[in-house]
Amino acid sequence: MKKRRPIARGGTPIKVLIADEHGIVRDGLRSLLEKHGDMRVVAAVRDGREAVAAAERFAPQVAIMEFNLRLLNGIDATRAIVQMKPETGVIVMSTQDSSALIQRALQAGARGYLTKHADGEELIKAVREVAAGRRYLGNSMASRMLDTPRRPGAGVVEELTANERDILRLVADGKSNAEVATQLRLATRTVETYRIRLMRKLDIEDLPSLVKFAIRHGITALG
Amino acid sequence: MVISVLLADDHGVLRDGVRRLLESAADIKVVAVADDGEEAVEKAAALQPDVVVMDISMPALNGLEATRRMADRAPAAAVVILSMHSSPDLIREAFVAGARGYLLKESAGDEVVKAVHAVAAGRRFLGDGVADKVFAGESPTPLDRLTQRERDVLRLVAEGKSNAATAARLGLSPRSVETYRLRLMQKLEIQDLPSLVKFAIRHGMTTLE
Repeated sequence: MKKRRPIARGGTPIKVLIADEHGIVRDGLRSLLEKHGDMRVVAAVRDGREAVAAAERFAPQVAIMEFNLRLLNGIDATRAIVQMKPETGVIVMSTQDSSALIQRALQAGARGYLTKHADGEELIKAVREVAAGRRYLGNSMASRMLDTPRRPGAGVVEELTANERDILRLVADGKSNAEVATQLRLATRTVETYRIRLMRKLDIEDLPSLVKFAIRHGITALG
Repeated sequence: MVISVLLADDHGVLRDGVRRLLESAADIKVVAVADDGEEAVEKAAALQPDVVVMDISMPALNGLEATRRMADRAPAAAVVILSMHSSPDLIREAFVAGARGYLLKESAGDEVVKAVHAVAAGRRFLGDGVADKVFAGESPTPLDRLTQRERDVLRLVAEGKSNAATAARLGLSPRSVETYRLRLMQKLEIQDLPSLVKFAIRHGMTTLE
């Protein structure tokens, strides 16, 4: 792989694109970034399509992209931008903390990832690292990638057996143990055992949290 | 006169951004930040700020509950709620809980500054897009069928609290909580807990985290 050269040289400010559907976040980010003389926000857009258009028009060095964008989601917009302008350093920002999401962002060509727990300082650091051609995953991300889950269920979906995954899906869809048993052709007692084991594996204690976990990982629908 | 502000939001980047926006006003000073509802209440009680700007969905204690507790522990603090949701129910609940202002995250940043100035001067503040929701002929939502109590129970159940914990939080017996829960599920025509949780998420009563 070709080594990337640092992009911001000399006194030229790093050009940054912001994409987030919330005005308060866009304006807040702009305010944060422009406190630093070495950064300049060239565009602040509210959906994925505007993000791609702005990337084409303004050629930012760094794009901060919220995962949840309308019209074109953050991951797809990342992919489009990186294909069009591979030198753009995209940082995906998300309120969710799942390693599956991080993988998707990186696979789409993002070079950085920030969760909602990151603060302004981390953001600035991320922008500088990415503008210099490096990756930025943040402290919590790095440890997650090394398999030390910090939150219930982080990174553990892959460790579930096929049965456990089926049970998770059916339970999150609202089926009772008896209904799950009928559908999977197991004894009800077996379903109960698997369910307890499943929750222990995921480090989840209550059903609402299990449902939310399943929604976040696309195992059940919200609607 | 400088307006002291406590900022509460668990989204660090947003919190620091809003802090910066507020501090660009010469007469506003952010005296503390918090990243969950309990911390927000404690800091409000300790520091007695003029204004609290608070996200409605936070860990530990959600923004509505925190607003109610602050009415006791920091009665002079004017609370401005920041939210992604603008359902008329939620807005009404916020004001009933004691909030003086309500702002959508999708508004522009200068709205926060306007909100702080307005509530510090004793006025109410409804952000862009919020006033329309409150005054328009509301299309009835299923939540309208629920009483305040039922809504409180729904929120806590969807947050994963046990009957006992919900009962303790609301000052009820576990038996009453169970009764409220059955009744609210009947009213909403929802049969199982996962569907109830999904309903709550869709109506902004609990977050996905």
